[in-house]
Amino acid sequence: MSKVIMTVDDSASVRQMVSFTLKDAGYDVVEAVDGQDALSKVNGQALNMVITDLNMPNMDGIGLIKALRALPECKFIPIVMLTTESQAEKKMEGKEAGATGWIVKPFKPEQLIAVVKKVLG
Amino acid sequence: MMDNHREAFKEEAHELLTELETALLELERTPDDDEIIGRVFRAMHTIKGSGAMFGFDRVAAFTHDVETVYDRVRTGKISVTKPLIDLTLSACDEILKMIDDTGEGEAEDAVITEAITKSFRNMLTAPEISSDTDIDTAPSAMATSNEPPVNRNEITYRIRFRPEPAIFATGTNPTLLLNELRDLGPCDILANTDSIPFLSDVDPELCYTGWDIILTTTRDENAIRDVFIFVEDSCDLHIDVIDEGRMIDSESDYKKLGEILVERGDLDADKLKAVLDGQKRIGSLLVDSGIVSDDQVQAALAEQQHIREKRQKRQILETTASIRVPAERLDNLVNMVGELVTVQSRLSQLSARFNDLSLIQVAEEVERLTAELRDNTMSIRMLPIGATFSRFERLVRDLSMDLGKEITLITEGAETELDKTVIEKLNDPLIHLIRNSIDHGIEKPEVRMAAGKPAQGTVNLSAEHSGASVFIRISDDGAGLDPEVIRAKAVEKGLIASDAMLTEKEIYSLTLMPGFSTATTITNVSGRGVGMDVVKKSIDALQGSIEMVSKKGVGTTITLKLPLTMAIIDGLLVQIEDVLYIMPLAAIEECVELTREDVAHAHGKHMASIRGEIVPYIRLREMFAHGGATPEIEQIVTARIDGNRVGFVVDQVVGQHQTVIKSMSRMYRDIEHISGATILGDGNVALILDLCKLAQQAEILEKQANQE
Amino acid sequence: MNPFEIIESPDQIHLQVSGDISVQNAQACLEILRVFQRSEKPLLLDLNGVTSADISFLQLICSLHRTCLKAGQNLTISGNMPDTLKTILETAGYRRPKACSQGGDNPCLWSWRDES
Repeated sequence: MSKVIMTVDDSASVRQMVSFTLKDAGYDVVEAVDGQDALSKVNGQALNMVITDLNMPNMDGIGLIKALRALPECKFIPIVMLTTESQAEKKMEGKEAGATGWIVKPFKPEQLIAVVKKVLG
Repeated sequence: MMDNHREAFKEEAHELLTELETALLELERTPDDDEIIGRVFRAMHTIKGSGAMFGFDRVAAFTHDVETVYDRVRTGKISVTKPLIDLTLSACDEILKMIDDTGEGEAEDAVITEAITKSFRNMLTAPEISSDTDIDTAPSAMATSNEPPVNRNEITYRIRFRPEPAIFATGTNPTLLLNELRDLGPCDILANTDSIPFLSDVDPELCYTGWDIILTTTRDENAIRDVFIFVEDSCDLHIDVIDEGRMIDSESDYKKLGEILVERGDLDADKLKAVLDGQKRIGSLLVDSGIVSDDQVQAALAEQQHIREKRQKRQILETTASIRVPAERLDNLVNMVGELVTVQSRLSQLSARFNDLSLIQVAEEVERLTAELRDNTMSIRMLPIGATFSRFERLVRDLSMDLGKEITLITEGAETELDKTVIEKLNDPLIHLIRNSIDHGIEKPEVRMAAGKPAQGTVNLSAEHSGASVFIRISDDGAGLDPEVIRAKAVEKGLIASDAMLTEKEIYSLTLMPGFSTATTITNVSGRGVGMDVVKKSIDALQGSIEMVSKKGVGTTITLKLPLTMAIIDGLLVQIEDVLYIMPLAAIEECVELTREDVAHAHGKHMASIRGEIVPYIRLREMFAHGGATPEIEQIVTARIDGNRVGFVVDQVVGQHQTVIKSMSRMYRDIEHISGATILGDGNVALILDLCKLAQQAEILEKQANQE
Repeated sequence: MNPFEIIESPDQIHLQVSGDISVQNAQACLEILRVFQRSEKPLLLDLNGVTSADISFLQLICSLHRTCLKAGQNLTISGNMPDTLKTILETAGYRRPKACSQGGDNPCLWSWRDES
């Protein structure tokens, strides 16, 4: 059974790229446009991993990570945040909220897969 | 595929740019609105980030400066002004053009782009900006892991990884990290379970395990740190180099267990000392005294073991470590050393003639250095014969399968070194000899069993040094040679007279003659009537010799005696009339005088009594048809050839001479008794004599004379 | 399917673990282990059905073993060490040449002999 990864990003092009890359690597992908949308889609989903952007309307990445860690089914799954080089503080904040790791934007598909492999095995 | 993403990005960028324009116009009206500034920044940020991701590198590069300026605006370091808004609006136009990239008017665009970029950069360098600038130096996690620097050396690291208990709750699985380390190189990983509590106190969602890892890798420490990049702040991580992969004294063993524990900080040195007085093994002593835990001792032992193994492996590797150099360069070097040797001997001769002490000193120094240089250069050309040996394993395996025989090949002395050219020329003869052993020598399993031998036959291939020669032996425990059969065959082929008196050794050497083959059936392995004579020729060409010993039913041993090197030999310089010749010194035993009286005593026979032994001699003066008168006293140089003493008569023995062998041109190749030529110190040429061939030829000449 | 099942017979108590065991169900695992360990009978642990396990599970079994040793209880893994578990243990660095600090002279619960 292939593993399910949720990608959360308000940029459609990033979402599309992440989703395409992951599907190509054999993962199942669930897409969400922001934190709130993501949380609403977690219910009843057996997620193996979440990749989330940090800057998003409605509920941002940090808020989403905190909310996910409070859910029993998401307590121990890897959550990777998409950050930019100029967001060192945000990165720390994300780590404290319970993020597993990060990917620095811009990134190439192979870098994305490398991080997924790193945290998901 | 990527095109889809590009299209999606273009669409998105158009939206963003429209929004950006609106925001900028709003900002012009309310320049202090933080929210709008944030929107502008985010839009630029997204365009830059996504642009780079989908291959719009120009967009990304261009937007970078704009974004940077707005980051400053956000933090209040640059204020919003009309010129800034104007500039940003024109930047938007440029971005739009770049994204749609029609390919028209590019040069013109480039000028505008550059002008805008320059203006933004000017804002960044303006004096009002405080100096804590560099936003780009923050480490970018995964982007750096593409092409990590690679060490050629294998370095061994001790890694102590103690994740904080709450690590599971960050979605981290430590096992995956361990696996990543394994990808870097061979690892010994031992979990430290000391702090796992009893069931009553355990929190199942906490991590109580720590790991001690010994990793040997060619990658640097950063590659290891990269593995832990996400957990850096939530673990205790120590990485130490414990072995740098350099050459180490073979005597010095790796650290003692106690030292390792002290170094790791598990134990302090004083306590170690206190415990060391006991008799038991240090590990159990320490555990018994409760100073360190069993896990710590085991981790340290694992380290010791890992390094010991690594070092052992490395020593094996180092013995074969080498630089590859084209053979041609090496040949050139040898040639040049040869020339140098020639020049050096000329210098020695000159210095002797002038008898000037300081010149003699220099000449001697040069002589010493040249000899060393010669030996070193020759040793570079020396290769272990092992590589050749190992090729035969396959040969033996395939042949024995083909022939339905069971044969093992045992090799000895694979490390024996021989000149490269000798080794190359040795390959074919050796293949032939091994084939012979397998085909003719070793019997089929059922025959062997019937003879009370083990079903499996053995071919032994060995090499050893002996002075300036190398002995290579091929022996088998097969059927052995039957002297009667060989003799009969030789008679049949007309190689010997039917009543010839031959020793066993002589009979065996008959097999080396052209056109001799004892195999009763011709197989595709050997036995086409060519072979042993070809082997003999190759070995002769190498200035070597072949000897056979065999016992019927027990096996055959063939010994090849080969010179270490073929490029430079020590020779004896001799003279007949005014012509100089070189005799290879290796075969020469002694030089004695031959007076007219001695010759008269022998009654015309070419025999001399040397130390009570009658030694036949060859008068080279006659053989080479030198004119002129025979001097009163001549010299006999005696050599041992095929076990017999043979004398060679010359006018004068000049002295020892380091001889650089030059091969003769094609014209003179057929002259068998001359193996080459050399250039003497004074520029003269001397021919190098093949004593073995000379003796054979003299024998033939004598026979012809007798028949007449 | 319940990954933890206790089967009690007159002379022993048997805990069968099967499926994917991870920190996700570690709490449940601990609860069942506590029940299991409270038994006075010889404890038999059947791990043949384990398809995957992470560090949290290995820790819990170590904890169980320690607790049993202290209480003088007899804990054994039934049958041969399953291959899946061998791989998991080696990957996690849990395979060791000797028992751990708490083990004393007892062999490590995780030890097995390699077939040559």
